[in-house]
Amino acid sequence: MKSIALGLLAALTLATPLLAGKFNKVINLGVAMPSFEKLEGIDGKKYSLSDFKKDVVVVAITCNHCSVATAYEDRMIEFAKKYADKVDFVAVNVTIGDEDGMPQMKERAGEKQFPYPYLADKSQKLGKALGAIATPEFFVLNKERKIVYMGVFDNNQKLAKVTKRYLEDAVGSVLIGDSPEIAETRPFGCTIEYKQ
Amino acid sequence: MDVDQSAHLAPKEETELMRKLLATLLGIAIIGIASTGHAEEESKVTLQVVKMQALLKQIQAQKGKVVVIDFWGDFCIPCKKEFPNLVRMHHEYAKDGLVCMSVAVDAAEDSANSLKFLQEKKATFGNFLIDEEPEIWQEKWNISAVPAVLVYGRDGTLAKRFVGDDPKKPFTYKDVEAFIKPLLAK
Repeated sequence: MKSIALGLLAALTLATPLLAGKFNKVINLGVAMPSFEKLEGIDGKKYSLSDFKKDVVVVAITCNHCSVATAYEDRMIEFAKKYADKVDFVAVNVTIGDEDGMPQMKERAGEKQFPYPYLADKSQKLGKALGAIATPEFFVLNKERKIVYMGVFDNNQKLAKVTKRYLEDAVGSVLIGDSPEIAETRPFGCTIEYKQ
Repeated sequence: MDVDQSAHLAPKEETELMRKLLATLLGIAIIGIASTGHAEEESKVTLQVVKMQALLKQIQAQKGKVVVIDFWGDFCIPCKKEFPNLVRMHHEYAKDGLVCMSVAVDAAEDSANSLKFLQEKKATFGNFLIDEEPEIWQEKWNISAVPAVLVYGRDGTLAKRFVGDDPKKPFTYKDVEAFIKPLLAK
C-alpha cells in the first residue's frame, strides 16, 4: 500500500511540470493552446482560434487601461506588420473595467490603427486558462498550436532601454523550425483582476 | 445738511456684520491651518530612487523589526486599491515594531508620478523606486507581477511572500495583516 502511495506521489510530482511553467502557475510550454470560440472583435466579427491559419500565432493578452500595455502598442503594431505574411497576431483584452469596454477598445484601436484583431474575453476564461497574470503577456503558438513561448515582449517597457527581444527571438526560432532558446519569461505589467 | 445714511448701520446690523466677518476670518484661518498641515504631511513623503544593493541595505537596517514591503507601480490599479492599507498598518502597528516600506517598480524617469501618488496617500515611511530592469528584482524575490508584499521577520529573514502569480489565488492586505500580528507579538 505504501509503495502504491509513493508511486502515485512520484507520478503526481512528475506530472506537475505539465500543468505549470517555470513562472506560469497554470499552463506549461508544449501543451495545446486553450481553444477560444467566438470572441467579439472591434470589427464586430467573432473570432475563434481556428480562424487563424498561419504557421505561427501570437496571442497578446492586453488591455486598454494599463500604461505598460499601452507602452507596448507601437511595438506590437510594428511586430504584426513586420511578420504579417508569416504570423497571425491577435490581441485579446481579458480585463473588465470602465476603460476596457468594447466602445473604448474600438476607440483605442482606431486611434492607434491596430493592424491586428482586438478581441474581448468578457468571461475571462481564456485569460484564466492561459494563467495570464499581467498585461501585456504574450503566447506564441506553433503550427500544431502548442505553446512554445510565453512571457514578456522584451525586457524593458522603455523602448530605449530594451536589450533583449524575447518575443521576436522566439518567433524567429519557431519560423525556422527551432525551439526558442528562452521559451518562458516572467510577465511584467498590470496585474489582471479576475472575477473570482 | 445731507447725511449719507448708508455709511451708518444700526447697532444690531453692525453686530451681525461683525459676527459674519469673524466667522469668515475664522473659516479662512481653519482652512489655512488644515492646508498647511496637509502640505506638511505631503512634504514628509519622499521617494528615493535606488539600485538593488541600496534597497537590500535598507531592508537589512531594519533587523529587529517586522518589515512589510509593498511592491507597487503607478500603472497598477490593484496596487493602488490596496496601498491605503499599508498606510493604515503603518499608523496602527509602528508602535509594536512594524516598519512599512514601499518599492515602486516604475521607470526611474517616471518617478514624479510615483511620488505624487505616495504624497496623496500620505505614505510617511520609507519609499523607494527600484531603478533596475524588472528581471533583477523579479528574480531576487521570485515575484512576477505587482502588487506583491514581502514580510521580513525580526531576525531579518524573509518570512512570507504575498504574490499574485496564480489568478486563482489573489491576496489582500487582510492576509498580510493576519500574518504579521503574531510576528509583532513575538
